[in-house]
Amino acid sequence: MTRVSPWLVALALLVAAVGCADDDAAEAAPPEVTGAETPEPAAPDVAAVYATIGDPGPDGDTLVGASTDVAERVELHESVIDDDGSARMVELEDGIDVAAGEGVVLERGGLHVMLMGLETELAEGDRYELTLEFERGGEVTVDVDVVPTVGGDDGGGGHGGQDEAHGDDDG
Amino acid sequence: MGRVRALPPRLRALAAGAVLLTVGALAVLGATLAGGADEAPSTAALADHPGAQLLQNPLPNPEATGFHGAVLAEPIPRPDFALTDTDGGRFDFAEETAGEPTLLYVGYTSCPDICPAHLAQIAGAMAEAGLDTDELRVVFVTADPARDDAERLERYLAAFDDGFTGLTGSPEEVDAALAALGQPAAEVFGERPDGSYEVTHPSQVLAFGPDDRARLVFPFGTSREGWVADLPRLVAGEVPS
Repeated sequence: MTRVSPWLVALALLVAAVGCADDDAAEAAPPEVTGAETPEPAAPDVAAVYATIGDPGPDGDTLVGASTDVAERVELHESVIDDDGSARMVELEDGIDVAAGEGVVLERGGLHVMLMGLETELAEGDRYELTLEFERGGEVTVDVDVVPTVGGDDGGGGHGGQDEAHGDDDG
Repeated sequence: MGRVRALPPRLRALAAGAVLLTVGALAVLGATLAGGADEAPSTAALADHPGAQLLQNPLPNPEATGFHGAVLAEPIPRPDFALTDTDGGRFDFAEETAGEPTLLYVGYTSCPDICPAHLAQIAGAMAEAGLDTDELRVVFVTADPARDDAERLERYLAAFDDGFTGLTGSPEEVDAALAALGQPAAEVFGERPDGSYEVTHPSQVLAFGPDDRARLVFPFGTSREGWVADLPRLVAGEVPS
């Protein structure tokens, strides 16, 4: 009975590793998050959050989760338009990569934070807090502005910019 | 930036192919057994339907066509289907919108991103172009009739423009409407423990002119300027050459 279980050793190593990871996380600062907004939701229970996540530094980072008091559940999603033209939404269980030296843009028709089971009615002009959790940088809480449902150019940029795509084909 | 899609979802394409094959096989079988008395007889002709062009995800080419929407090689006739509008009345699409410029979009209200962004873009562009829903009908068909009842649809669409028409029905009626458009049935996926789920739907908006043909489809991501430039021309009955 004096033999040390290999599982116990593994557990101890895991704890040590997690401990180290925590130390690293404490040292890294979360990337800057700007322009966080939610279009006033047309549906009573779901909403999207868009934002620009800045350069996380040379090591990069990953947005692994988000939470807010205004919704029961928060997921990280990407809207995808398949080769057959159909649209669907994919939950990103491994998080959203925040590229070193670049950051990432959460925008209409692409990457977004989805709020489900809204517990507070979100109306244009409201502002609420959303906590984003980064793998390395830890947590950061940002103010999210609720903007008009029908705003400026709502077409999205990266994934849906067909006009741009054709611009690239010029030449 | 040359590519529009986020991912090359090979599995998804395979699955879609399998579904198409299955739908096709079932339709042929159904037509054989029931003598075509199925509720959605056009399903058998899915592959031959001009709406199948949507499955190629046609892209706009403004330099060549002068339009910011994608110009279809073969126009899609105004589809013949009947659903229920948000007042509870029967809405025969081909009959109710005959001769009227109409935008038709299939989506669902629990979709937080593409659907509201598309509808917001349409509402914003119409306002900017000085068009109201008397001049340009906007019809939203839910792909998720189980959750989208008349009340939910009406409230949802009013957030964009209370002149937008919302249509729902039984799952079979919605599938028949999609088949009338040459589209496969919507697929439910991503079920969560709380019972919520997501639904696939065509990403494009079809634009029917006064001649009851759709020659233009607008993919997601069409710019505001693109919409504003194209919509008055659609309403005026201009036909892409």
